[in-house]
Amino acid sequence: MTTADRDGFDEFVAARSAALSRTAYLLTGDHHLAQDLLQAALMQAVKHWRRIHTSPEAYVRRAMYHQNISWWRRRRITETSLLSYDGAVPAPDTDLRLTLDQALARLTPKQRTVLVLRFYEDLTEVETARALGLSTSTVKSTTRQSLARLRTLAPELAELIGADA
Amino acid sequence: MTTRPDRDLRDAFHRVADSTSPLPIDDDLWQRGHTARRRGQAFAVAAVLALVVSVGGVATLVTGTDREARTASTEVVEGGAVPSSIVDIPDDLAVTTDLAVGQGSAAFISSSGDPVVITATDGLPHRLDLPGWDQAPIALALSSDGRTIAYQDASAESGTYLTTVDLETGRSVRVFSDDSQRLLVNELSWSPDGRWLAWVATTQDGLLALLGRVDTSEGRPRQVRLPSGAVDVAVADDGSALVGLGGGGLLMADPDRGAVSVFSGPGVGAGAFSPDGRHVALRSSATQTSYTWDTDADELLEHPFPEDTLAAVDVRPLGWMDDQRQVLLAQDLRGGYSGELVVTTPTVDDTSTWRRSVGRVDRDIADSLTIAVDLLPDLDGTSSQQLTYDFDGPERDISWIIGLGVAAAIAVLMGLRWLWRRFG
Repeated sequence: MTTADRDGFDEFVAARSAALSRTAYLLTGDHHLAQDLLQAALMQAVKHWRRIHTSPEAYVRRAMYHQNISWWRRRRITETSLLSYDGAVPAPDTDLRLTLDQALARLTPKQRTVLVLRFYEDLTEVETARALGLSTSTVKSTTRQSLARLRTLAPELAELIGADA
Repeated sequence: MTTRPDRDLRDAFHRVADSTSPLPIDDDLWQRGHTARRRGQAFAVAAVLALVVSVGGVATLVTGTDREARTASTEVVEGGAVPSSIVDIPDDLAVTTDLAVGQGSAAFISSSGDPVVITATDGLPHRLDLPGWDQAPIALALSSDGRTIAYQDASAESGTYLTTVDLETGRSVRVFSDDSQRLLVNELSWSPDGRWLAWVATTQDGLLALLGRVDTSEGRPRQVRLPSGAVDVAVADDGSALVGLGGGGLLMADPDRGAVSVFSGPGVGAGAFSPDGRHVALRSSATQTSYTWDTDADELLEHPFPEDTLAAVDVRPLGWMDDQRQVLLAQDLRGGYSGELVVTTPTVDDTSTWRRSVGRVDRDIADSLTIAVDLLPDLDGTSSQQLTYDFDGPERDISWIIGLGVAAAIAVLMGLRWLWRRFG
C-alpha cells in the first residue's frame, strides 16, 4: 500500500470519525464497545482499502453492523434471559436521552441494530434487510418486537414510539 | 410497503447520538490494519499449501511406490508366478461368478469357507462361486500347471460328486459320481502332469475308507477299499497312488490293483509324487527332517534341516519343481502355525538343495493350500534367485485414505478460516 493510500484513509477518518462514532455508540450503547467496534470496522477498511471503490463510509458502516451482530452472536450464549428484565426501568429518568439510552441497553444487539438502522440511519426495511443480511419480514418483525419492548421498558417513550409502531 | 419510522423517535435517536463525543482512533490503526492484511495473506498462502500438501499426500499414498500402497492389479508377470506371500482374502472381496479367471498359481479355502484361486499373472485372489460348493470344509485342489481345480460338489442332497473346472475356459466337468452315498472326501490330489485325480474318502460312519482315482482325460473313475483311517493320498503320472494312514503307515496302490502296505511306522503320510514317479515327498509332524519315500527301493529317505533353521515343524509337500527338488509347506509350531515354503531334495549330498523362506503362507489357509508348482522357475544355482514373486498382496481399499485426506484438508481450511476471522 502506498503513502497516498494512507493519506486517503487518514482524510476519511478525520472527516467521518465523528459521524461513525455516533452510529457506533448507538449500536453498542457503551463507549468502550463503540470504540472497539469502530476500530474493528476501520481495520477491515484498511485491509481492503484498495478494493473499496465506492463509499468508504458505507463500507465502514456495513462492517460495524455486521461486526456488532457477530459479537452479539458470540456473546449471546452467556447472556441472561431477557424475560427477567421485562419490567419497566425503575426510577424513570426525566431526561429523555438517558431513558432512551437505558431502554436501548435492554434490547438485544440485533433488535438495537435494526432500530438504529431504521430510525437513525433512516434506511427502509428493504435497505435494512440488505445491510444486515436478513429477510425483509425479519426486519419488520424485529422492528415491531423492538418497539414493543421499548414501550414496556420505558412507558414515557410511548408517545415517541407511537401506538402503531 | 415499508413504513417510515416515527419522526419523534428519529429525533430522539439523533439527540442521543449527537450527545456522543467522537471516539478516539488509534494512531497506529493503519499500520495494524496493514499488518493484519499481510497476516491474512500469509494465512491464505498457508491454506493453499495445506491443501496442496493434503492432496499431494493422498496422491502419494494412492500412487506411491510404497509396497503397502501399491495394488496388485498394476502388476502383471509374463507366464505367471507363485506369490511370495499367500494370505487369506478380505471379507468384502466380491464373488467371482465367471470361473474363467485364467491360470491359477494357488488355491485354498478361505477362513470364511470359500474357494479361492489366485491368478498367476496378476496375483489377484478370486472368491469363486463354484456350483455346488458347500461352506463346510471340503476338498479343493489346484493342478500343478495351475489350469484346473478339482473340488467336491455337494449340490445334490446325497451322493458324492467330484468336479473339475478349467480356469481358462470356465468349463466344469463332473469326473466322479456316486449317487448311493455321501462320502467324506479327506483329500484330493493331482498327479504331477495333471492327468490323474485321486482322493481318499470315508463313509459317514467312518467304518469304510476308499481310494478313488480317475484319469481325467479318459474318465472311468474307480474306487478301491482301504483300511479305515486313510487320510491322505498322492498320485503319480501313471495312476499309482500312495496312501497315508492316520495311525501310521503307507500303502501303495497300482492303477489296477488294491493297496498294499509298504511302510509301517508313525510320523509320515502321503504328500506328492515326483514327476518321474520314483519319489514321494511325505508329510511329517513336529519334525526337523523332511522325509521322502523311494518307490524303487522301498526306502524312507531323510533330509535333516540345517542347524539353527527350522525346528519342530509340520511338513506338507505341495509338489515337485523337478525330479529332485520338492516344495514343502513348513508350519512352525512355535510360530503360531504360520507357514513358509521350503525347497529341498530327498537326501543330503553334494547336489542337494535346501532353501527356506521361498514364500510365506497365512496360517488360516495353510491347511488347504495347493500351488501350481510348475510356475516355479528352474534353479539357476544362485542363492539370490527369487522363486516366487512379490505381487504386494491383494488390492487395497484406498477409498478411506482419500476420504481422510479430503477431511483433513477441509479441517485445515476451516481452522485457518477461523483463525483468520478471529485474529485477522
